[in-house]
Amino acid sequence: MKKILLLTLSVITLISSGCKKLLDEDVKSQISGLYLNTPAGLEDGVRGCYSYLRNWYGGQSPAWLTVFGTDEYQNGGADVTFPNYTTNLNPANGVVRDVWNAMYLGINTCNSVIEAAPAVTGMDPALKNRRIAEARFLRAHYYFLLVQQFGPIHITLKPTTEADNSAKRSPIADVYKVIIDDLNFAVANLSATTTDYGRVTIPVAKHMLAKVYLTRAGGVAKQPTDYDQAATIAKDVIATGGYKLVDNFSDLFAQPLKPNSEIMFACQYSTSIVTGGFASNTSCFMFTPGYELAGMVRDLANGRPFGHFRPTDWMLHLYNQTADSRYDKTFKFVWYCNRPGTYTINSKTVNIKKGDTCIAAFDYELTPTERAKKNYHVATPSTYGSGQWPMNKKYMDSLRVGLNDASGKDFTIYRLAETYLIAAEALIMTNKQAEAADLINILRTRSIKAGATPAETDANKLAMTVTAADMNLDFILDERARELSGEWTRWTDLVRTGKLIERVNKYNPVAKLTIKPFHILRPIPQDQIDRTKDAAVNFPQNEGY
Amino acid sequence: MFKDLLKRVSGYHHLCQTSFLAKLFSILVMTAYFSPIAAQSTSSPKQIIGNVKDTKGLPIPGVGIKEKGTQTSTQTDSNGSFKLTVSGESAVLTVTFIGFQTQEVTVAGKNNLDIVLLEGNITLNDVVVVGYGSQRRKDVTGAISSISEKTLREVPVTNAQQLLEGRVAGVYVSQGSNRPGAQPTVRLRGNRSITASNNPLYVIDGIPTNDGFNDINPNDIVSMDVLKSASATAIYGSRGANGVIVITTARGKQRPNGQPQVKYDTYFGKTVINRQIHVLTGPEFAEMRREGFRNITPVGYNDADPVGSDAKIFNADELAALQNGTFTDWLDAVTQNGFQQNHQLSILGASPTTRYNLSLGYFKDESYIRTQDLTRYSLRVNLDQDIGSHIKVGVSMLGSYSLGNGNGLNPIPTAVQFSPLVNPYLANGEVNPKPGTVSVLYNPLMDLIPGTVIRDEKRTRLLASFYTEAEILSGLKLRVNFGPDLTNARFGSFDAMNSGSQQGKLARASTSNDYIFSYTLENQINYDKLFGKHRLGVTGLYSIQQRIRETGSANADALPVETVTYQNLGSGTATTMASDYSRFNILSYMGRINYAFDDRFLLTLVARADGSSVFAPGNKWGFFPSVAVAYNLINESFVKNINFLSNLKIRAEYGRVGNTGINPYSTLSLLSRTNYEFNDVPALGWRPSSIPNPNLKWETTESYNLGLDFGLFKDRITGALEAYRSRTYDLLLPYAIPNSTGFSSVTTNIGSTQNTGFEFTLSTKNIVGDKFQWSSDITGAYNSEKILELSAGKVDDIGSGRFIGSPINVYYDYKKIGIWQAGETQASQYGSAIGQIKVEDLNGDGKITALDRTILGSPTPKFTYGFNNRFTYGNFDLGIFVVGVANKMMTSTFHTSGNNTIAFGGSYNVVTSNYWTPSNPTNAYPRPISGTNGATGVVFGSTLKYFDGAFLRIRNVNLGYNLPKAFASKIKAEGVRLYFNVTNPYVFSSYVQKEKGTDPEITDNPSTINYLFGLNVRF
Repeated sequence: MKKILLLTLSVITLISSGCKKLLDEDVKSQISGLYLNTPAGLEDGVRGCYSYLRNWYGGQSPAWLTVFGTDEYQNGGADVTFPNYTTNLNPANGVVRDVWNAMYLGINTCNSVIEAAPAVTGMDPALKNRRIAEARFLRAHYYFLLVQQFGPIHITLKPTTEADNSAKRSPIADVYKVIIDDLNFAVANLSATTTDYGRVTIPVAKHMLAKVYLTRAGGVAKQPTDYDQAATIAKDVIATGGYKLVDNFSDLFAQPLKPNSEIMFACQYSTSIVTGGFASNTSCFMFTPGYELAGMVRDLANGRPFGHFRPTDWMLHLYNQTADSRYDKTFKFVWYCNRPGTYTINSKTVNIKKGDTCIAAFDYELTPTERAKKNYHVATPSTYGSGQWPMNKKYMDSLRVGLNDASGKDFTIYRLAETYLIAAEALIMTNKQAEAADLINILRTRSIKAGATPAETDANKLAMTVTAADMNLDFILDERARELSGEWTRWTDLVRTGKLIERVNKYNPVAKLTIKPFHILRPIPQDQIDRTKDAAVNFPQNEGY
Repeated sequence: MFKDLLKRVSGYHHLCQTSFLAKLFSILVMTAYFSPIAAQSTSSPKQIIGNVKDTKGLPIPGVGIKEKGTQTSTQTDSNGSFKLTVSGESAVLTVTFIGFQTQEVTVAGKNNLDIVLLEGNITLNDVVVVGYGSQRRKDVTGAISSISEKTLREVPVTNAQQLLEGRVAGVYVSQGSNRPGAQPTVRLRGNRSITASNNPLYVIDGIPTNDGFNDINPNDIVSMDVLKSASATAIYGSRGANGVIVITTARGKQRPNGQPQVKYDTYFGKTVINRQIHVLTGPEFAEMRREGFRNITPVGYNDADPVGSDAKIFNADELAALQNGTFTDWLDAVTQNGFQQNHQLSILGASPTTRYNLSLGYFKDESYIRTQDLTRYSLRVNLDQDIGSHIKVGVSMLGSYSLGNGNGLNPIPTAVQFSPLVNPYLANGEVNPKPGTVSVLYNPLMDLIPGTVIRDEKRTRLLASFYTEAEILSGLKLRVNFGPDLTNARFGSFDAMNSGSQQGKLARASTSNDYIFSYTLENQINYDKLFGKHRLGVTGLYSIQQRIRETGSANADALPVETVTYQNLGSGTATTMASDYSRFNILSYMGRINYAFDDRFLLTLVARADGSSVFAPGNKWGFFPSVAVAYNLINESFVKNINFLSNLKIRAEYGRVGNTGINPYSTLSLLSRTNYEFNDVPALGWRPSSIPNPNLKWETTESYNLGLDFGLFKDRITGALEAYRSRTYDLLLPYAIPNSTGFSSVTTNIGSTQNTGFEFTLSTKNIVGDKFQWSSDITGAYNSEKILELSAGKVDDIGSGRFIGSPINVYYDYKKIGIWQAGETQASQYGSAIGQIKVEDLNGDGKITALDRTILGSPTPKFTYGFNNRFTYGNFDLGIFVVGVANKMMTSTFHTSGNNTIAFGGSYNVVTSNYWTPSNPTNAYPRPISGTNGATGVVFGSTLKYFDGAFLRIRNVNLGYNLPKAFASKIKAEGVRLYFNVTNPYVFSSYVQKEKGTDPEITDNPSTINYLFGLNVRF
């Protein structure tokens, strides 16, 4: 019996001694965090930092946060929360939570790269610094987007490596300090140009820095030199950045949108179904009204009709329609029949052919007689409510594959036209109206409509020319609306200039019913508060929510 | 008398054997052991000797020999011999041993008895599988419930988990879905862990497995033992933390005629929808939309001009439908009657040294959702071979191949939302892809056109258990188990151009493969010895478990030719490709000592050390001891005299078990892919996706259990009572952290939970007549689950929805207290309006804020119970099986926001509700309000989804008829049984009866009744 026991024990020992390695983790498919410490890992990490731009530019949530609830656009048929400042605009709202979470995910990715980079060996130091500078630019960018929406926010400059529930709201001034430090580092270490279109360069960082100073100047953290800094840096970009305004405003929204002389920085999308490069760019859906009336069927050229952003009457009447080409180049008024047949249209039986006008949206009321003459659907300001209105066409994309696919067109973040507007706004705020007028005239020149005769052209030129006397903050906001209508910046422009409440009351007939002074900040997501230690002290909710 | 006993303890399919066994017994008794004319003259004590052997002539040690009606007893020694002083010549000995048929032997003048025990599972009820061995029920110290084959066969089921429902106290089986292949959720004594799995461990013929229990053919199972308490499950260590369900499949046995037994079992039947999701009918839907427009400013519907107003809010097709009264019942259009069938052919037999069971199974379930079905082919081979007298080798092997179609394809949500005012078909009778005006909705019937959407799953499973057992010395056995488990699953998916997901884009397809290989290798030593009144059992175990999973998938878009479906991805544009590998290992050492003294005092000690690969070095090992004691009071003389008692045992135990609870690689810092491009050149990157946590360690459950087993009136009434408390420490918790960290949660060892409960099981033989019998099983369990501590100590974690003193899963939301009625001016103060939902301002600050949320209830029931009645009258038998739960809250899928009030401005259909209007001032549902055109939609709509989840369900009614022997023998059968079974005939539930819900367990699909007709034939 002893022998057998001995034998058994030795067999067991034999088996178990060979099994020591059994308890080691067998890592094959997973990529360890240590990868970021290698040159290739650093490159990949920086690429990761860029990817969060797609969570803002083109996304639906940021669209609602920046386009809705302003003087430019009112609700065409979306969820009413953001356009109308309803009680659902509260801390539990998924839209604010989405952007909050995505931006902080981006910030942590930037922090991880910035932290890991110094230890990376075997890499050209200048290239390494450039990559760190890109990550710091992007971190600043994400903080800037957050601080404009939420006010005081949590600052973290180190990657998260352990479970931590301490967070606190740092004063706006501290947030701007972080942003400006990062941007200064970026300006000092980036290159002036890049062969990878889409990467950050010095002029891009400078443009953002100018915008940051301009924005800080309008808020509680303002410093006396902010406007001067903004003006100086913006003018420097115009003078030395190497960009120039494109001749034709429409080229800025061409498709596919390829590099041009004006676009400085664009969130990159593609039509590749391999990388899904178009998955999140919903900008093409947002402005499209409900055009699927008799004689029309959804197609690629006309787009997927979300019907969210309906221009306000003010927006439509902001242009000198005779002289300013931007009106026609921004808005689409007519839809042509793509489903011929005999239908009841405009209260009469119409046999409509392919290519005939099927829907026309007017920016004025027709008399009953005028209306009765039309052999197509007619939309006028009093009927916009039923879903048809003039459409901002900047983001239309007929190169999509599927009818309901999002857009593969790049989304412009910064373009030189805005640099002019930033410089002009900063100059106005420091009483340099004449200089501002000069810059604005350069910008407006490219949008002057050619007349039928030289005399008409001259008249248009004259009409488009502004003088120092015209220069004030309201003019700048109007001009921004004409130039940048719908380009994901309006809400923050109005908050920066302190004009949100005033202009919504004046120009947005729906939002004015509900907007309150506290709406200049968004609610902090409830999750953030619920999960933060001693949130009552460290993470108080914004006032009013 | 013996016949009666046999009848009672064996399943109906044994009934046919009863007579032959009884005959066999009589023959044996007559020929071998005593003369039928018993001498009864002397009554003075007398010493006898004897020995006990099996049919092969080998001695059996440890056999219990007891003089009937006295306390005199002994056991055979290692040579199978015994010596006993009996009261006299008339003494009758009862000879019992596990796995053998009990015999009664009359002394009748003999001094030396040669007893041959017959193998058989007639006494199966008295044997309990305890994990790495079996024990006599009376020696068991832990809380173990067993289900006999007879009970298992009462009701046909499609998966083995259903066999547990309501039959074992403390087991909660929730159905979740009535679609083919859907697996129910099984919980033993509540939830313990928050992140880790709460699924019990299944041990199939000795091999523990966590994968796909669905592949097991329920008809192969002959017993299920549910190990509930810590000392019972400790032997399985870390994997037993949530309880263990030990499954034994049928093995071959010898029949007196030497012929194998052939069995054929079948059932087939219909799945009939008895309650659809209750959506608005055409006229109701139209009225709700009108009401929605009446309720906006400026008023969008003028009742003075209904024709003109209707023209504004309905299009021409909808108006025509309203005028003609032609409405579409979308749910009816996408559903049908389901059909099920099952066939199984088994052959069981044995030679003196070989025992075998071969069975073939075929099962097909066609869903009530068109295009959905599941087919399963299974093959079982169980084989035991004796090599010489001391060595046994054997195998249990299950091979199964299943084919699932349409899994994951669900037209129900869209069918619920589609307007009843539109016609799904074009004038030419074809399906209209986009009927109606709501551009987002696509006709769900398109996906049901054969070949349009394919979801194909092919799954092969090979689960085996090989063993070799050698008896080295009397009582000392060595055993090696090797249990490989191989799953290979292949999914093919295809969406044609006209499918709902493509809507005109070129087709897309994908395939994926899932390869899982696990094995368990165990070396086991068992030593059983009897020293006088001391019975000692020692078990030692060393085991390795490994699970490797490899997956791969490929997707393609823009397939130019649809006929290739998913079989030629290269013809399209390849999009994403993925593959993954993961492995985890567990290494264990275990020892167990069972000690019994005089059949009165019982002790079990278990110690187990588990090492797991998923933890970081330093935290890999966990140590889990347990101890249990039991006292067989019935064997005490002072209890024995209590006439009505036939069994009385008390038990107490304490033990710890562990749970690894995390996936491999969870302690490491890992990266995830990001997508970007620079000027259309892919720029894929990486981002940190997990916070490293090398400190993660075992989650440990510590529990106490007190038990009482009793039998009354000669076991006419038997039962058990259990009370327990278990606490789980170092919970592996996803700890929700502020998103400003860049993460939403991280797994940590934090906090503790507690489960306290009582269980009772009662089996009664109410009427024991010759012709008519009635017996009942009642089970009941109360379990109170609560969180004791969380990350920050005794502080609620609102962010994760966890609260000290509450169950792990709770509903935390605003509390609806009614609808704002006309004249209630506070409505606007609270940011609401007349006709809208009124929620309680809990902190009374005059505002509704996040602070006004509260715990509304828990989806985990506190009470579960089952009531099973069996009636036999002659050849007829009837089973009625009732289960229920109480003290539970549920949420209803289609009462959730977006489906419960006017949705998409009245473009989507919603569930029926008694909504508020100025003329119907109800407190049930808010007034519909079109959420478009500037109006605020319904606020706090989420509060409408909560309902009382208690129910009492008649789960099964089963009526059977055994064909008379005379008839059966005409087809040379031993027995033929026909039965008719109805599953889910009725449920008592306020959600169903008051709220027009479908089923308290299945809210997202129609409720169904199954009608099955079955046949069992034994040759």
